[in-house]
Amino acid sequence: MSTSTKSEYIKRGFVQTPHGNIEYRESGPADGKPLIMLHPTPRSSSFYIGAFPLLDDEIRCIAMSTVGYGESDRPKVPYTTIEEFALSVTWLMDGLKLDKANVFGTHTGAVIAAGVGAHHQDRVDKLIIEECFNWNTEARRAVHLRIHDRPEKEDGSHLSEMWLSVHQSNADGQKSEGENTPEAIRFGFLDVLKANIGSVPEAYGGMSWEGAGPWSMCHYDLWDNAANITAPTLVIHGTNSELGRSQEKFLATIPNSTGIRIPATNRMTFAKNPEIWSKEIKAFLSK
Amino acid sequence: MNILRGFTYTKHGNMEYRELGKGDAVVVFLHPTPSSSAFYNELLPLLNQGKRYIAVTTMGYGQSDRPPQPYSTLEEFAQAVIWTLDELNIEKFSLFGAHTGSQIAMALAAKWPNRIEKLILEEPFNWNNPRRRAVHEEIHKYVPESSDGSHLITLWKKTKDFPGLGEPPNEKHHQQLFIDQLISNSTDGCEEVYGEMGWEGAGPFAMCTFDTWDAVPNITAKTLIIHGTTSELARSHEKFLDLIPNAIGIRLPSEGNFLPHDAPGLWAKELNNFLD
Repeated sequence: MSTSTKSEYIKRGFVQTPHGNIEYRESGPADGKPLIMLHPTPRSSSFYIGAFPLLDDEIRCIAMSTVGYGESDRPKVPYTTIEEFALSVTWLMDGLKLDKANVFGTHTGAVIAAGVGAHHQDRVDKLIIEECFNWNTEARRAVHLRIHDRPEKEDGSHLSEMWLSVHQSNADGQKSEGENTPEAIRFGFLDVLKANIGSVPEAYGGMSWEGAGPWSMCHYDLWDNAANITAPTLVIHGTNSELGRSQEKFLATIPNSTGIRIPATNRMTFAKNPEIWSKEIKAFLSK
Repeated sequence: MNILRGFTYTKHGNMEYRELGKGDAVVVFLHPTPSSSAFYNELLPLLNQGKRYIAVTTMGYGQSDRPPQPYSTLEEFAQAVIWTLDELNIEKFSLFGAHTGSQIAMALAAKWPNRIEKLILEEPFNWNNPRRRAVHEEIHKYVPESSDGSHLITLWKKTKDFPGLGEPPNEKHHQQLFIDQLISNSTDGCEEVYGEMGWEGAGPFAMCTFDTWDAVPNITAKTLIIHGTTSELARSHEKFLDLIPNAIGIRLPSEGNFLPHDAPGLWAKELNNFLD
């Protein structure tokens, strides 16, 4: 048996922060350039298990579970701002003794990543934001209030509803084949479940804890803040993503940015187009 | 005070633990099937300050990885606990185990007697015969996944009435138990060993093939044996006291098997007394 066994499986860990334990998963060369990876709502770092093999031959991938999601502790006082979530990302970096890192985020994770780039410029080498969007309008907030509302029912039927929501392709075709493997569904379900257990906090307009990230991104002044990002930034949207209509505005707003549209049925995530995704991210980070 | 969480990196994967308190004296906790170290979330804060309490999640359960090959002996489970303590640089420690955790604890204390300061076994039993194994095969049966999610409702109800775990004392405990049961509800790569029990049956499988009466005379640590007053497992109480050289026993008021959550204050008082 090999003596160096730590790289044979995805390494899991926690860092201890002022707001409790933050969970992460890590894969790739320990001396590689670190890439912090931030997930969509209501997932956790387990979202990236399938993405690690696409990058970890050369990149040290560190997937963080957003505070309050997955196995990361819920903060005592519910977060309501992207600034709070962004600060917690720097706590993860502190815990891992990383002065600077590349930061990647998709969907809600993209808005948090943009927040890290805007408010902690000295901590970010390069920034990649995938399916980033300005959600800060009344109509867009209403979309999230509807999606992230899953009341618990006495007979347990909320569980099968959650399961179906993870299991079936969304009506808008968001889910790819890669996201519908039995294991991916199990991980996805556990994340939804964890984000919804316990009493509903007052902070999120009726949404459970699942709504913490969405609430914060729907009250974040993205355009004002994105202008403060100094890191070289890659802006990714799927070719058919309805959020892609803002891509030009991101490129005009973020000083040092480039954009790509990756072929995808709808919004882009790694599982939609693994090969191109991997190639583009590696190319951008090695520039 | 917050519970600190962590992982150790063993030959067989990540092993999860939860930790509370500071001190030179270390007490390690092993949980029943199919929970995890989260079983102790609300219990550890009840214990006296001045000690370091570490709850370890049995390999294959909760957030601990499944081992590359399914374990079939308690020694393998105990070995994984030893790896974790080695990595945490802990040489000597006291050890508490409840239910399946007590079986792993006795296997560990019998094989690594020099590592143990004091030992507490809660509801230990000799499960090593086919009839008793059949009991566990019935309790820990895998519930196949269905595309409509109805298996979740079955499991949700099962955790509410879990045999041997009594009534869930609060919502949090039940929800965590549900999550932990869901994680182990799988037969992926283990069917040949655990049959229809799936991964949930890993610990029970191993304890039902463990020669309890052969092993426990090797325990040298001062040992406390706990059974509930109405526990059917208590019929072996005296035998444990006879066979473990340095053992004392108590019976705690219970309905069926005693569980810490049934009487947390009493549980903490007895542990504090014995450990101090």
